[in-house]
Order: sequence, then C-alpha cells, then structure tokens
Amino acid sequence: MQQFDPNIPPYIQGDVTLVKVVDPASTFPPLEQGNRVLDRKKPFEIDVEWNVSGALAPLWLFALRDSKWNVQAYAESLGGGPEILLARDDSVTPAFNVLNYSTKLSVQANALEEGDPGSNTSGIYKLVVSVFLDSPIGLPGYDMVGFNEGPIIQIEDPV
Amino acid sequence: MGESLASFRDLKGIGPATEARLHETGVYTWDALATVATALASVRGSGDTPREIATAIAARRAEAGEAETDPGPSNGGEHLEAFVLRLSLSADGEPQRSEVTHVRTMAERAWQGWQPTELAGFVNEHAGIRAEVDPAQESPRKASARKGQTSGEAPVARSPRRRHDAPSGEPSSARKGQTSGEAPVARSPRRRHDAPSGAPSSAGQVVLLDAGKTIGGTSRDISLVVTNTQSVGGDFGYRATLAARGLGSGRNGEGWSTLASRTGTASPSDDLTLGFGRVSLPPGVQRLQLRLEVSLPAPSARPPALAVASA
Repeated sequence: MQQFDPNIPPYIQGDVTLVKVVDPASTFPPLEQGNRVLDRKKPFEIDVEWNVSGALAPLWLFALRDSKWNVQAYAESLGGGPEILLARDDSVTPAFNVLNYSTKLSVQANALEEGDPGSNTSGIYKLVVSVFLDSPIGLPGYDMVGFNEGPIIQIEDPV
Repeated sequence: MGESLASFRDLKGIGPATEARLHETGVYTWDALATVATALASVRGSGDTPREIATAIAARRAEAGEAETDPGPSNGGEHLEAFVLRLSLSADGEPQRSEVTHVRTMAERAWQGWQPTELAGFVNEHAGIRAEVDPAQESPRKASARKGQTSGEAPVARSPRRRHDAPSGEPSSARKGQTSGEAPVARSPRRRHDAPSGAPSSAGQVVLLDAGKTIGGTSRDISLVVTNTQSVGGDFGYRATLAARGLGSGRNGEGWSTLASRTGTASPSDDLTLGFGRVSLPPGVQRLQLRLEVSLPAPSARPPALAVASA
C-alpha cells in the first residue's frame, strides 16, 4: 500500500526513509546504551528523514514554497488504547533545490503510559510518523503526504 | 435498595472475604455499616475494625440461628443467592475489567473487559441454577403456566448496549487485530441458563481485522487478502465491511466510518480476496479496519482466526 502521495513514478514520488528513536539513556551513563525501552519520566527524541524525487519534484516543491512541512509522530498503542500525538514540527521549509529533508521531534516526559500487567495497557507502542505539505493552490490538489510505521517501543518506569 | 452498593474494599484491611461477610449479614451500604459500627462501639468501645464488626455480626447470627444458607422446608426451599459485580470503566464508559463475587461462598472470578457470557456462567455455576426445560418437552400445563408468568412480568428497562464491534462511526472497544465473539445474528430473548461458559452458541461470528494504513484524500480501489480461511472449517458466507478513521483522530475504537461493504461466499481452501472499488477516502493518513461477519458451517465458541495479509 502506498505510503507517499503523490506517487507517480518516475515523475514524482517520495518516501519517509527514517524514523529513529533517540533514547537519552541517562540513567547509568556512560555504560548504558540507548534502546527502545524508554523511561516514562524522561523525554526522548525521534529523528525523521524523508525525500521527494522525480522530474517534477523541483517544480512541485517550488509551487508549495509558501507552506511548511508538518511532521507529526503518533504512538499507536498495541493491544488497546488510542493513537497518541507525541510531537509535531512545522519548521521545515520546502525548497525546489532540496529533495532530502530531516527534522528532530522532541517528545515530552510522561507522554505515554507504561504497561499495566493484566490490563489492556500494554505499554508497547508502534511509532507512526507522517509528513505533510499543504497545497494552497487549489484543484486538483497538490498536497504531499507520506507516513512511515517506525519502530516499536516500550515504556517502563524503572522505579 | 435505595442506596448504591458500597465498596467496603476501599477500606484498608477489607478484602473480598470480609466484604462478602458484611453483605451476607445484610450490610450493603455505608449507612448500614456506620449504624452497625456505632452500635457495636457503644457496647465494646472504640477501636473495632470493620472486619471485627463483620465477624461479630456473623457470629451472633450463627448463634441466633439466623443463618439462611440452607434452604429450609418452611419457605419451600426458596433461598437467596447474592452476587457482587464490580466493573472498572474508563472515562468514556469502556469496560476495562469486571469482577464478580459470590457472596455465600466468597468465590471470585475476574475478566478483562465485559464478559456477560462468562458472568452468566459464573452465576449459573454458583447459584446452582437448574437446566431450563426445553419447551418442546414441557407439558402443556407447565408451558401454559410459564407463559402466564412471562406475560405477567413487569417490563424491564434496559439501557441501550453499545455494539463494541461496529466499525461505522459507532463507539467500539475493538482491539486492533482482535476478533470479537459477538454474533451478528438475532438472539432469542430466552437463553438457556445452563449453557456452559464458552459453549457454541451461534453459527455466526464477527471478526475485526486491522487492515493497515493508507493515505487518503482520493478515490481508489482497495484490495485485501484474508488468509487462514481454513480456520472456518468449511465453506462460509460473509459480509465484509471496510471502515477507516484518521490516524490519531479519535480514541481507540471510535470514529470509524464505513467506506464500502460486500457479501459473498468463500472456501477454506483458498485465501479470500476482497476488492473494494473506487473507495473514497478522507484526507490524511487513514487507518483501515475490516469487519467480517462470517456465517460458520457449524456453531463455534470462538471466531475463526482469520487474518489480513500484509500489503
């Protein structure tokens, strides 16, 4: 199933190429390694990279130069619970001569619940990141949107 | 009772056993407990815990021969069986956990979510409800008497039950990728009280499947492949409904909009390919859900373990 729109190869297409969790791993430095089990009480970051390609990509991006990329990260609870908007960034500006983009999303502490054994709150979440560039130029619609289902993380308060 | 049932377990040191003893002795409300505590305190002095109070009351009742656990001949064998049901609900009324206690035996059982069939089975088991006589084998006289009883019963107001498995914009507790055991067929108003928990009750089942995510804003053909059809055990009819909701646009299980549906029959020997033509999708990243109402070749206690193949 397509994960980026427009998807008209080879004229224009795109891809969200990276969704990476950056665990601060600051409980037992310097020995502790960052991983995907995150302390509920601590913030963490998500690196996101995406690109647009094809012969029409520069023209398309130029047409949407007045908009900003909207990048949002959701946590999709496994085993029950809602999708939670973890973080968003609206700072990246498109440019006709830039086809590769990246940003870093900051997730606040206590954004996610840890698991509760025996309940529907698993404390395990799949990250979904969407990138969206709104088109203000009317029909037929020139929005750019894509998403990537990123890593699965677990939230656990070590205390 | 005019007052709601008190949760004595909120008190430190009160467990299910003590609470059940309190209930057994007729103490169901905070007012009743306060009355008993005050009366006992005036006799024994302060410092009695609710546990001591319950024990004392039970002991006095036993001494006085007031225990009514054994049905006596004087009342025709009629006796009371009391159950305490506790429901843990989320803020929006989603059942999280249910727990029932049989007061007389202090037996307990707990389930995740709301499991009325399990609850009925527990009540049947502990109350010793006899098997309901099949009307076909019932004598005309008894059948007539039963019919008269039924018509004389006061109508019971029932709160509207939310369908937990409906995808079309209705509140739902459907778990992602999980199946629902609720049958889509009409249910008889009379149910056999002796049906064991988990017994086959219907030849229809509803299966809810996570069908992934897609980008909306356009109209397109969507094709899904349902696998593991051999779990149905024979040829089966189905009604497939495709629903969507925006990623993060609502709480889990809510806000599904029906996109398309189709019916057909399928064989357990082949995967079931479902094509939905020219589906109009709302803008943005959309989550997709496939609801399958399956007519099983034979009654089954569980929905078949169908799955959607990864795109």
